[in-house]
Amino acid sequence: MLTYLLKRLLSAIPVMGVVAVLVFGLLYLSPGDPAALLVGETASEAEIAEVRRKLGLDQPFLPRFVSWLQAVLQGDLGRSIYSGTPVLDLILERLQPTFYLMVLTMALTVLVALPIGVLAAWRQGSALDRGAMLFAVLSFSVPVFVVGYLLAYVFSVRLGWLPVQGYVAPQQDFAGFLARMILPAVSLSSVFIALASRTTRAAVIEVLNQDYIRTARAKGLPERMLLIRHALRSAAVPVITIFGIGIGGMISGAVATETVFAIPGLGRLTVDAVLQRDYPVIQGLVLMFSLFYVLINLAVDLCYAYIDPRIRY
Amino acid sequence: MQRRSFLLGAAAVPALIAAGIPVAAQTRDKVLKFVPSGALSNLDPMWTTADLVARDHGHMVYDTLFGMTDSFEASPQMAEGYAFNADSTECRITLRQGLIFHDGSPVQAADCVASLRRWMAATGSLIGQHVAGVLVDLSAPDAQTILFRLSRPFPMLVNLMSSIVAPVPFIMPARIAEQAPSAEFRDTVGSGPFRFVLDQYQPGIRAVYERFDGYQPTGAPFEGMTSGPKVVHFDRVEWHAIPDSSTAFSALQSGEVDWISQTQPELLEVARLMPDLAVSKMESLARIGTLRFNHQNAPFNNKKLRQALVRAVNQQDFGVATVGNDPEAYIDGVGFFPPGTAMASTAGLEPLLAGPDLEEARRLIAGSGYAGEPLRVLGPTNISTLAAHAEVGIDLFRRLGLNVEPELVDWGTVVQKRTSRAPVAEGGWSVIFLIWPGPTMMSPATNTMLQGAGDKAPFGWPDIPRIEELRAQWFDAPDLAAQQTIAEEIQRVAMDELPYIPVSGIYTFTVARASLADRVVGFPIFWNIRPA
Repeated sequence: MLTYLLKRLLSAIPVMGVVAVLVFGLLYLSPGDPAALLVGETASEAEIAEVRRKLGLDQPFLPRFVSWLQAVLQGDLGRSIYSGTPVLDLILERLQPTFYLMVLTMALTVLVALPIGVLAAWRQGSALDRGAMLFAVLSFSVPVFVVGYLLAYVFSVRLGWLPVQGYVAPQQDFAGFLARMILPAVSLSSVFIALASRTTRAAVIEVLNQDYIRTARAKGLPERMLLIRHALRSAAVPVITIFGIGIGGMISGAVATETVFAIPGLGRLTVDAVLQRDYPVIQGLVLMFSLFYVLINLAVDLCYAYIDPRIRY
Repeated sequence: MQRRSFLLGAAAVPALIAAGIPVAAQTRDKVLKFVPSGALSNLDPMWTTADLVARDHGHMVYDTLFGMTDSFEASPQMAEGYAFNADSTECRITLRQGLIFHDGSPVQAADCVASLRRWMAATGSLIGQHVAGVLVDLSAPDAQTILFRLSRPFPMLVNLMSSIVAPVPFIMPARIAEQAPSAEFRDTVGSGPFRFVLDQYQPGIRAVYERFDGYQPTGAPFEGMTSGPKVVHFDRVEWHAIPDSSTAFSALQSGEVDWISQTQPELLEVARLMPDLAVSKMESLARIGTLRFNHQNAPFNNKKLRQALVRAVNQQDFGVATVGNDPEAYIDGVGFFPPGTAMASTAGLEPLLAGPDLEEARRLIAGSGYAGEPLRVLGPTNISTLAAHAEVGIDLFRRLGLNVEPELVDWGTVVQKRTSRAPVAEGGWSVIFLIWPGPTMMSPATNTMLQGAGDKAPFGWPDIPRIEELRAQWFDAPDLAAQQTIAEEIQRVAMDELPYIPVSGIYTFTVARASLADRVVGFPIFWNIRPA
């Protein structure tokens, strides 16, 4: 297992290298000029060219790429063109809200989707099953930002129970943190609850039709034990796959959620950086997201081996 | 995170819910929470002229030698007074006594000289560069005196230094002003009415200001905007960036913020129905929408075709599409200078003021020699006001039978593509719609779209030598009457050559708690405003 882990971690290096080339190349080719955006409407073309030169944007692809790569290898992701802040500091500062949003979203998804999926499978065709699946279809069909606006309107504007927006670090004010994160986590989790509950239901139904389940029932095993110990565990591989994909999808969902609830996380940073053509920030974010995806895939693979003893690396 | 603290927090939420609102409504007697139109991500007000939020930040932290009144005249601010010599080639400005920076050091003339030099050299500093063009020497003969020596009589000098158009000539300590403008600017010591709290600054998220107790307001009378005494009634002002206008409005409704800079027209209608909110014009001057032609390419290198379009423009259409049906929100009859300002007139505007006549416009197009060449309209999708202008324009061109190729992309792409001089077939552009703050358009000094220097003019590159001659004369005009005469002539030439067509005059509205009084109109200004 350890060898496998090391191999997988080493294989991430070429992946990150390819990502680095791709992100740099795509940004180089993409339209938009941070210098022209920066100087505004009143600057002359000569002034724009001068700013471009100062930012090093007038250099050909290869020297720019080599210089950037050398810096990245030394842990320097550069500085934001707009704020002058080191990109690494910006990312680390914005990482915490996004991380907590994803943790809460995932926790909600697990707590809600698994019971719904298992119960729906257990009572397949019943009113409970139909109701759960209707809920899943609705949740899956309504965009995250619409759910966000509706929740904010009801719970913040109408009822005044929770803040509309913003973020407070948990170590600073835990109650304030939770109060601000509940609505974003609920709105972001809605689509993942739908996805995970449907997948769980399908996987558990398949397992419940297996001979060994019938044997277990015949031996008199209680239904609760049967569902949790046998059915859910055997159905876990596709469910974990969905959760792995879901975590990746949450990053894109976080962009909308963080915008709606004004959470200063990585999603908002990404949108701002793209609109401003803040190349160093975009490059740093894409690298970080790529690393995150690699690690999530690795974690999912390791979970497979833990849950299903037949899988060995 | 410890299990105990997690449980404690989890338990707290129902308690807060049960208690009613306290999560949202916090006690903040002397704190004003504001949502700017964009995030403050750059602290150097000279680093970019594109960022009006940085300019507004500058007005918090820094002061200027002269303020600007509601009638756009200069009023002494840090200056005690000024005097020109007999032939107006020397201007001696005296500083007020006792002015100090936030670090306690005195403001001296040398600081002003260094700051003014920085302003003149800043990228995009149209006014500063013009002042630099007539400057022989700028010096500080003593701690309280700033001396301009000029190559020719230049009576407009003081008025130009009172400008609120970015970059503004903010006064900084010399040690800061001597550094080139940059994004890495962090020494925010100024002498303005607020002190910037750097350690609570989160780029793109939050900016915090505290009242500067050492600030000494001028004794000059308050006549609007940046003139007169700047009296601060809040201990602390916080700017919170909320990118989504619906969320910002909800935050205002729920009491989380006190004032939002601007919002969507549909939300303004909701705000007007709420007794605890007040809607008012952010600025006294309308913003001016412009249809900018590319003079270098077909088809709009054809003057007759440009002139034909004037007869089709309905300024009300552009205004309504952008700000809604509220007749207070837009004006028409807009010429090359915003209505109500000193340079505005109706000289030469007859084809525009006669009202749209599409049939006549089509006849003129037919007689212009236009042979169906494609024209590309470049417009952004992520700035709603500009997108509305582009959509109205595209529809108008289609109704006129022009061969339109819309290219609607994000603003970053527009800004890059508009620098292209390539023909339309090779990716070039023909028309861009832009909206400009009123103060930017109110004089030939700052109306960059009125330049006619061909290759040296901004994108669109109109080559209109007569306008350049008139602009030069305007700068040297001895008095207001002479300036107005020249401005009338500039407008006549502009209506003939059409570097652009003024297509709208629209207002932005701001929404704040009704309990806030005495807001200064012009831009987000935080002095004089107070709890009612």
